[in-house]
Amino acid sequence: MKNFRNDLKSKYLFFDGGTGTVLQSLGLNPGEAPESWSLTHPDKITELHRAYLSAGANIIKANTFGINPLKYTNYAELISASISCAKEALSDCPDAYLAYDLGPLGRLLSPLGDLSFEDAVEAFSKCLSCASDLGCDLILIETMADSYETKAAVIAAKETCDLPIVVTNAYGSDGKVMTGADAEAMSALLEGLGVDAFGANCSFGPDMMLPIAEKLLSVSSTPIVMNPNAGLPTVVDGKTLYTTTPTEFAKYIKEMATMGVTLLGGCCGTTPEHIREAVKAVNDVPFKAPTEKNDTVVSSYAKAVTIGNDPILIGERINPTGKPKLKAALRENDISYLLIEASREEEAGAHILDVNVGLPDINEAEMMKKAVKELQSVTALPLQLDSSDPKVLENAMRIYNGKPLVNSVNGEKEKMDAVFPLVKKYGGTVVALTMDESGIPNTVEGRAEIALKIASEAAKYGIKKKDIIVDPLALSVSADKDSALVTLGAVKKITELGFRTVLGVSNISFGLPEREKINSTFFALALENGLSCAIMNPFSASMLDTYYAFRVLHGLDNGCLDYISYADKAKAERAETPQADLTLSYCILKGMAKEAIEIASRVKSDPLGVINAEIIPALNEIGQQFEDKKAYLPQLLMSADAASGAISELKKLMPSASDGGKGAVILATVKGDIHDIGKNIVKVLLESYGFKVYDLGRDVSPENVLDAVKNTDCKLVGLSALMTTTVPSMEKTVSLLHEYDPDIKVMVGGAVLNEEYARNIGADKYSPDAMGAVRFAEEFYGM
Amino acid sequence: MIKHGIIPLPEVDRNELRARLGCPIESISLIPKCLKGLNDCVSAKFVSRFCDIIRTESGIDLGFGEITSKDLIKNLGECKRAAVFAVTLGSDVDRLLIKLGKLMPSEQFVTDAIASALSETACDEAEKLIFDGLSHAPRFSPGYGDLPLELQKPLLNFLDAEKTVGITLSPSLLMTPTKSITAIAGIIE
Repeated sequence: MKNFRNDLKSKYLFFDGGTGTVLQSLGLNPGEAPESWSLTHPDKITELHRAYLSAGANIIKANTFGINPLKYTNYAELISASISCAKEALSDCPDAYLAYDLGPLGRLLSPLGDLSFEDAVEAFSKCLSCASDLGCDLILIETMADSYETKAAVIAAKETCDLPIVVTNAYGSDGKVMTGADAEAMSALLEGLGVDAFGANCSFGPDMMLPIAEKLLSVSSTPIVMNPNAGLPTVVDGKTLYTTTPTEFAKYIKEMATMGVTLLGGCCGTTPEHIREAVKAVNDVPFKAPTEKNDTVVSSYAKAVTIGNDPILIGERINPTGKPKLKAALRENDISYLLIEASREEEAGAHILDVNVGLPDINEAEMMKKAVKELQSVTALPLQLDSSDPKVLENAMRIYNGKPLVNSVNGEKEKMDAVFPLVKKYGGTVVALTMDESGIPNTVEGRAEIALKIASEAAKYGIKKKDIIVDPLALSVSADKDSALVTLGAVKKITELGFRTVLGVSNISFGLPEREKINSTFFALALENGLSCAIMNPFSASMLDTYYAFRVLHGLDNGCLDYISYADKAKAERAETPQADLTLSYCILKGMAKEAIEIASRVKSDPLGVINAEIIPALNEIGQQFEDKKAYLPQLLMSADAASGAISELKKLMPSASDGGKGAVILATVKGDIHDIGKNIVKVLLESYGFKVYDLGRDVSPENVLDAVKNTDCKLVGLSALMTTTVPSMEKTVSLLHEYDPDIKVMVGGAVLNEEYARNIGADKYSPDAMGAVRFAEEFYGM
Repeated sequence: MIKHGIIPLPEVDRNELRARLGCPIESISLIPKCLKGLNDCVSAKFVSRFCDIIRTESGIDLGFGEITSKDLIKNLGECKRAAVFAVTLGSDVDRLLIKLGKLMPSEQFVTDAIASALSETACDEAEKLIFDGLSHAPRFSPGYGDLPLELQKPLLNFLDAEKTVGITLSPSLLMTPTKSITAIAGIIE
């Protein structure tokens, strides 16, 4: 009885080659979809499969690559016809495998495009439920140029069936997929999701694929697949030909096999002859099963971060505990505060960002989802998803674009039962706290024992030790004089047991004054005992001093280059003395954001007085200059940025209730449109004038705008649309709002609109520019 | 045949940028910073395909359906062949713009203007690679004159643009990556 998962581990397997390019030689017109031939020329499709089987392919791809419900309403019929063709061919070769071939949907996922992650999962699931019903042996997810879409496809596959999953991505010549992930990041994501094999296809010829193969083999413990094109296309005598001959192609395939690639085949331009030669060439290459790698890796949409001997800094700033400003931001649904913190942490040198949005009075699951979505659109750093509620973790892990660090599990049975299935399904490296039903042991041995217990329970789910990072827990040393010694001993012991470790370093100083002094010394001691990562404040100079010095002293900083550049930067910052003669109003007028923030940060009292005396007059002046065409839009925006920065500094002196006293405005870019520049300009200007802005983002449905009106009680709405094709969706939004409440005022703007057009779609006000929006808001609130 | 490849990092055309910003370049101190950030993200690519211009009863056919646009037909003049092509600056530019939009709207505005100017220059550079010395008419894009935006779909299919350069189309006919241009240009023989 054939078994794909067993074969995968014991022998070379060969995929077939190109479909579209071969069909073109049989009469398929350029631009005509290959899948349509499953209905119109089923005999030709079967013949093609047979040709590949007789060339020696063990796996044939059903002619389903281009089929999905977003492109075809009759997708089920097409799928069924395609699979019939393949089965017909396989009737003579019962040992060969039938792969359902799942290609990209042809739409880009949010935030880059307008397709939501869940809609993508649903579209893939519709195809795949057909695949398992019709008796495919495996699922091949191929030519994926986006890591996020790849994840959506794998999740759909895991949710619809138990078939083996093979994934191949299309890499560019820069060694990355189109949306930014490199081979290491793809490997982390796909191994985390537990696919059976993965690799690369299409893109370029076999020569260009060698470096990708080499990278994947060096980091992956999973079998690697390579299905290259037959080189680049050229034209000879008016016919499109691919340059790599079957013999040449086979030479590269043999080289890949020698390197350790065990699933091989072809993509565009390859023919049964290419596959025949490839099979022959690999015949005498001994089979090499993949070697087990022990690196602990997490990833973002762009890159992988390895947690090993070189310490990793996990920024702790996005966690409301002890941070009143963040608490207020979360309660007000103000995501931009989180995004700015994240971007500052990245700039300060954090490698991973902790995200915790748990507050008793907010919907943590929804907020977490929103925060993760937004954060992964501004930072390329991997995230540590941090919540005590497994439901919240699941929400975040599902939509996370990469392999996250998951914080946390502990030795309690109930907790492990809830968290490990999530790690198994969505992938992740999990933080394991050394505590259980009986609390936190106060001995080194007790904590080490819990670590071992957690690892052995994880193993039952197939979660490897390398994907567990143990947190032996730092507890306040002021409450127990030996607590630091136990924690440090536990770090050492647990490291010796072969685990990576993490600590929330600052907990150690809880209850003491001048906490950084204790924290940085404790951090140094923990590192010396083997600590792999620290959850810490990346804005703390003394913590960074310790980190950079430790790396020098431990031989981790070649030529001390990182330390020198850190020291130079720190020195330069100290030397930067504020220019005493600059006033706040001057800085705002000139759009000097950095200086404006600096001056505002030195204000000690009467923030409202400063806003009224310095900021508002400066804004009025630049606004007037703009209206008189004496200043330009970029200058107006720079002033607004400077004013917003200064105001948020000054707000630190104000009780949070006094925010947005001027009134509120809801802003959105309408459904179908992702041009949000105009909307952002209006937002920054309204905010600098003191209005509270509820920014719903871009591609917002009419229903969501109405929901925002209901939730906030704000009756002034601004909508933007940049394309003629999205104005209808603006019209729909306006009429939905007016139907709900005729008192709602809607102002609209955008390149394709004008006064008359705006009136036609029922808008209350057309604003040609951002100042117009500010003036209308002032008028609305009777100012 | 379909030809695709990488376009060397284009230079910004200062006149084009001035037009996009709506003000003198010298007055905007942010430009050097935004330009640097943008250049790190640009990965410009093109895909092109030559085709015969077939005259039909009510228009022309370039191989992806009949086109009745009078403006395009006028632009193509007496040409017998044309090149259909697409150029993109890549999705990292979109990522940068999204990020700036959330953190620094003034930089988003300036960076967007530079990127738009840059995509025009990238098209100029792509034309050199595509036409390779052949003389050609100025490029004409869907959305210009009476050439409908709806043409994007068959045009991008014709170029296999999703696979070759990663351009996809939303239901509202918006290309992603957003800094992408499609065009048709006649060959003057």
